[in-house]
Amino acid sequence: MMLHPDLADQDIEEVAEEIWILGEQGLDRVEELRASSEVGVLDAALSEMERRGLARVAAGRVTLTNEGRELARRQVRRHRLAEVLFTTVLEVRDESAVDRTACVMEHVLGAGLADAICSFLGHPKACPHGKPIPAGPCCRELSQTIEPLVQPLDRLPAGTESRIVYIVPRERERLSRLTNMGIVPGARIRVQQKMPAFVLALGATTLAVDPAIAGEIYVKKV
Amino acid sequence: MAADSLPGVILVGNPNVGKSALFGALTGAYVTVSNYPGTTVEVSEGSAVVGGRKLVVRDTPGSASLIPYSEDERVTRDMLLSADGSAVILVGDAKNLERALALALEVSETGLPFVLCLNMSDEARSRGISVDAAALAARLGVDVVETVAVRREGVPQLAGALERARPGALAVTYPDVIERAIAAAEPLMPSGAYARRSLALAALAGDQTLTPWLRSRLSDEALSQIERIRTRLARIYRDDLAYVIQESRLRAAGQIAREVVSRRPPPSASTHAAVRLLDRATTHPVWGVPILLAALYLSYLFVGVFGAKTLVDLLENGLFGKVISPAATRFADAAIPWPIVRDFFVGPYGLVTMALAYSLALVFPIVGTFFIAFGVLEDSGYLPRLAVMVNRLFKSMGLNGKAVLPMVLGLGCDTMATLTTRILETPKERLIVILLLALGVPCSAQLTVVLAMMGGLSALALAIWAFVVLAVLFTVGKLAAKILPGRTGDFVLELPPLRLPRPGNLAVKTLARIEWYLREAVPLFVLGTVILFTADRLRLLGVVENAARPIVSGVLGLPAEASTAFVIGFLRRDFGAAGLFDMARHGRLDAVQSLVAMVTITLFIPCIANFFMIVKERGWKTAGAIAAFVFPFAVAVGAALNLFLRAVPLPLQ
Repeated sequence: MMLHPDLADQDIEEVAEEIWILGEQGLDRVEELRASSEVGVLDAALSEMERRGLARVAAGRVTLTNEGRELARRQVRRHRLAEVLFTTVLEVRDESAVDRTACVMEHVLGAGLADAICSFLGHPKACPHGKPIPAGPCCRELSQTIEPLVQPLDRLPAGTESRIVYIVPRERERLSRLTNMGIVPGARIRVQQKMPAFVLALGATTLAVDPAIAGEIYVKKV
Repeated sequence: MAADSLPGVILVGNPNVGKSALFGALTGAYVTVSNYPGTTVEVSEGSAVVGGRKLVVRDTPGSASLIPYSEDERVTRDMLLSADGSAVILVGDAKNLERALALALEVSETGLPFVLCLNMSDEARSRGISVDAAALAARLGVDVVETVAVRREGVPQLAGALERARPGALAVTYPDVIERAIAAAEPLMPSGAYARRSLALAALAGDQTLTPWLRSRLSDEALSQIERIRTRLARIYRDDLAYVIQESRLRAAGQIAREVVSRRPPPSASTHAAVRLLDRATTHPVWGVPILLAALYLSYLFVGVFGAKTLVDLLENGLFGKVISPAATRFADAAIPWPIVRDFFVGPYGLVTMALAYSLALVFPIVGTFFIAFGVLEDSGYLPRLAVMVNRLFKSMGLNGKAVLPMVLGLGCDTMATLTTRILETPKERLIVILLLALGVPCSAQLTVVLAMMGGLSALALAIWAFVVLAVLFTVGKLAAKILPGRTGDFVLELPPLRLPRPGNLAVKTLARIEWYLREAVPLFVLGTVILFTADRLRLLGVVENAARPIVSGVLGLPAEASTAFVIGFLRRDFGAAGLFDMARHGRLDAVQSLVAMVTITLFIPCIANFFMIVKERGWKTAGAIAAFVFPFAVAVGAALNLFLRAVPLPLQ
């Protein structure tokens, strides 16, 4: 089969990433991929991926091979790390700009640079939307050569002032509940005590929070 | 909106901002006011006269948002859904304008006419926070009034502003994708006083509690269209939609707050430093413990010693024993010729000698002192700090620290506490706490009779009683956490500032509770006495004693006459406990028997009122299951303790 004239490696990486994201939602149908895909040359990309042994299409379903999964995982990791970098460190507010730039970066970021960003951010577990960031080798080694700029609240000593960067709740409703109490990205927060439960000061409000929940709030020291 | 078309006013606000205090100031009716979030779990209703017209005022449980996460928050939202024509007073904490505004923006979205009340403005001022109310009113498009509800400051102005209540003018703009989805869902929503935009937002955010309400008003076609829009939106935001919506509101609220709030250094920093130090100590992992013990010990001195010994002696032996009972007996002997009627008043099961003596001389002084001590704890703001201290302990029982609030309230009255379990988030937590309340948390009346009875025994006996009851609570709690399905809610609790209790509120609250006790308990004491009297006359008591003898005497090792106390314990647990107390004081129970009897009656079946409250909250099946578990369990624990104490002689006296 002729290679599509407009098909680039970037498109293949992009499609692999899209299949991964569908998989996170428990979806794997080709038509679902088509509905959400932003790649213009999707069909050409899919057949090229089959040819390279990255994906399989059968009975209207698409699955990644081990090799394809490795590729997708790398892309998703870089994309989400880039998102965290933009929203938390650079404090870019425009969501669509963050997404557009992250899309470009995921294709140009080398493996070493991705791990460096990951360590710098304190090995974040999720992107600003709460979606999981696949772990890299640096996360497994937990390399902490530099103090992470962004770290979970439970690592801070009592008395530290910090600003909330992102929240990674393990349970569905927790994010909204914390939001309702004023625990949102951007809020200034002071750890008053850590034992037997966390006591946090947000402006004039004092909140008691379970240590497990405090570990899901990522902050930057101020 | 003019006052003559206002059928009512609804107080809405974040938890612990003083809605109940404001309700009292507006209506003159008293509802419990305390210094911790979750005091109000049901809607109270009163009336106020505004501009010469009578209005119905409703107080609601505190809400963080109109998308409910717990049953008490749902009560508030449902009230607003059916608020046709009512005005809302949005009550906020002036110290924390941002959160008040986030909720105000949400209420503004509903299109209901409202007024913003910034309460506790004195505390804000003392912290150097001042709000430009005029600028805020211009921004929101509604009246803004600053108040100090507990001192009625600003309340007349608030009543005046009510007549000008109108829908807010400020709308939050959400990200484009959400706005488009709202635009698509809005026309499908039922029209009414509650704005369609607000309904659309709630439905799109996945508010399940709204579904039944919508289902009864919309066609299946419209419902499935809404569901399609929601699913499309959920694809983009997954679980985070409610969060994104709330964050947009908070951002808007923060923006407005920055414009209208100015901060100066607080004028009285030195007094604050001392309070802050104490505040820190109350939740400190080390210093928190002696403070907790000191609070417990002082409460015990006041209730267990002053109430249960000094006052009971004065009333029971003095007033009733030397004055009222002899006088009543003399009067009855002289005036009532029929012995049966005479006995009805002054016999062993007489109205004066039993019902009144028990309820007024024995239980009342103890309950009264308990209410005072409890009120001090409530108003100081110490109870939520207690939740911090016990959070870890409670986690092992499938609960979190928040559950300590209903449990401590249970020491006041298990029935009311059962209602308060609504502040807990998950059904699992509510069920565990309701079970523990019914099983082992002694209510004030009962607790105090127990303390009085323990007065005749050694400190060791009291320690054994406390140990057995606590051990039972923890063991059953742990087992229940293992057996029951479901999850534990999040421990996120606001700690209100520590405050010196105001004697006025304390007095009113204590009197309200005493009035409640007299109304609730005395008639049941009378009824119980009438039942006992009748049963005694019909020689039924003997039958009951014989029937219960194998358990009461055989298993528990108590005299057969104690069975009357247990039977009547169904009516009120303290009535049962008082009966046992009476026996002990007349030397008909030895030390071991007293201790066994007290442990058993503490764990015994909940009183009738508590039982019906469980039925109301959780249904017959659950209530029946709890009763079926508690009864044999209490007897088993009592029997085991009896065997142990008979085998191991301890200095109990």
